[in-house]
Amino acid sequence: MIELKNLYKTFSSELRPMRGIDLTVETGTNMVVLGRSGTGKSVLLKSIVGLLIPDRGSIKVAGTEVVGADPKTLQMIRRKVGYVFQSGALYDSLTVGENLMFPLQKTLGMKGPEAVDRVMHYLERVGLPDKVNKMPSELSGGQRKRIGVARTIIVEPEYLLYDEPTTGLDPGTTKEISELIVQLRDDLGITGIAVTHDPYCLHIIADRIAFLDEGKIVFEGTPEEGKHSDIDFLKIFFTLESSAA
Amino acid sequence: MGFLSNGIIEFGSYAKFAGRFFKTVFSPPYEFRQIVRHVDDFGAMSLPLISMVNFIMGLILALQSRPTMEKFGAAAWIPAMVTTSITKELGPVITALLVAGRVASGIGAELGSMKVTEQIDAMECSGVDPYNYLVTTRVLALTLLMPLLTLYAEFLGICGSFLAEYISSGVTLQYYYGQVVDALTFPRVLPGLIKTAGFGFAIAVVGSYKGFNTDSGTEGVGRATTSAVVLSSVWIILIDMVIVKLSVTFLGE
Repeated sequence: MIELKNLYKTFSSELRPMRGIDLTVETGTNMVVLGRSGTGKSVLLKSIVGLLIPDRGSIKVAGTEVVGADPKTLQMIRRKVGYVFQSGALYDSLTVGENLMFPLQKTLGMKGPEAVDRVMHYLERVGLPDKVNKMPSELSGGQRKRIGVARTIIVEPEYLLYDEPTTGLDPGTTKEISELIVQLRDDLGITGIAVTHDPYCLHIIADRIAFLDEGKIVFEGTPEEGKHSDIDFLKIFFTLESSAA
Repeated sequence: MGFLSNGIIEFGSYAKFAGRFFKTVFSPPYEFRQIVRHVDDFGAMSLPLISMVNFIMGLILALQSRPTMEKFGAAAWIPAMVTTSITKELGPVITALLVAGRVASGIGAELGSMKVTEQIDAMECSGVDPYNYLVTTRVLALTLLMPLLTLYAEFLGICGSFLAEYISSGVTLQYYYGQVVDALTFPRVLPGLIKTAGFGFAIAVVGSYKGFNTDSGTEGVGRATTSAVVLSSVWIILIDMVIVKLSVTFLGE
């Protein structure tokens, strides 16, 4: 379970993305965080994995406090929580295979044939085993995202944070990535938090949704409950979702 | 006043950033493969330019000195004079400025684009300390490499000056070699080599700092690259000034 309590983060007087955020994500579910652009959804995700430090409040991942954690605890948390970046964030100077090998070697200390087998297994899982020797610059946007997912799940995290997993992708690739997120939940029991503006992705992956507005979670519930809420943003979003579905 | 306080804050940030190097360089994990890779990259990146510029610089120095030295009847001192100039000042400083242009910009651009494309964040999420993996390895590699590059550059500079002298006066290699070896005393060579390690450290720290603190997307990467070259060049001159003063005070030359 991931629990966020009373989170505050201020960058400047105009930029206050978190002003008392409370949110609980149950184990084995996919939570989708919605909100207008620039409302701090990515700040929320980055805070969970300790890339940004909230000014105050509490973040607990499986009962372990993230805010103020020492480097060793933070490393343990990052072993449990994977982060899928918007652009894939693949290391440009490494091949696809080396990109996947990197967290295996650095996080798990795994080397040799066992590591190679695991790399191939996860590349097959995302449907790209033939790209093992390609450089990231030779991949399409969708392929980069899928490799980004493979690199994150290769260390078998318990939680995954998805930052705009389908933004900028064609409908076919959006469907593939969304179905992959569902598979990860169903097959590996991975708990997910996704930030997205994509109604179709939400339709496929969301068990629950949270709406972030002016630094606070103003709605939290099932997609069905969201559809019938009186929040304008959600009304528009679900109208689009219906047409997308 | 604002400019001064910003300058002090910026200097403090650099000092803090550079200070982390001394903390991480002695603690595991030790990324030996990365260090070797960077030594190879930086060397390959700078070698052709350094070779060409230093050879020509030695040649020009000898050519330009001859008329004046001849006027004073001191043409026989040209090998010693050129060797002293190259080993004490010109070799280290010109090599460092060339490396700053090639390597500081390379580091700034590479780390800057890694920053804006979230690769550094991804590394941190993989449980790897990006400073240790990306900065410590580069700083150590360049600090170790610079004295070697400088020795090589000085050798080529001296070769260039020999060529100029050979063409002008038909001096023999044996005579020239003897004069050069006589000029290469310990107090003349050592400060030059020590300061090149300092130059290497400054170039890599400034390049890495600018890359690590890049923002505003690709425009920011361009800014980081340019200011990495400008600032590391300024640092080279400042470090040179301090070491020259110390060398004159404690070694007498």
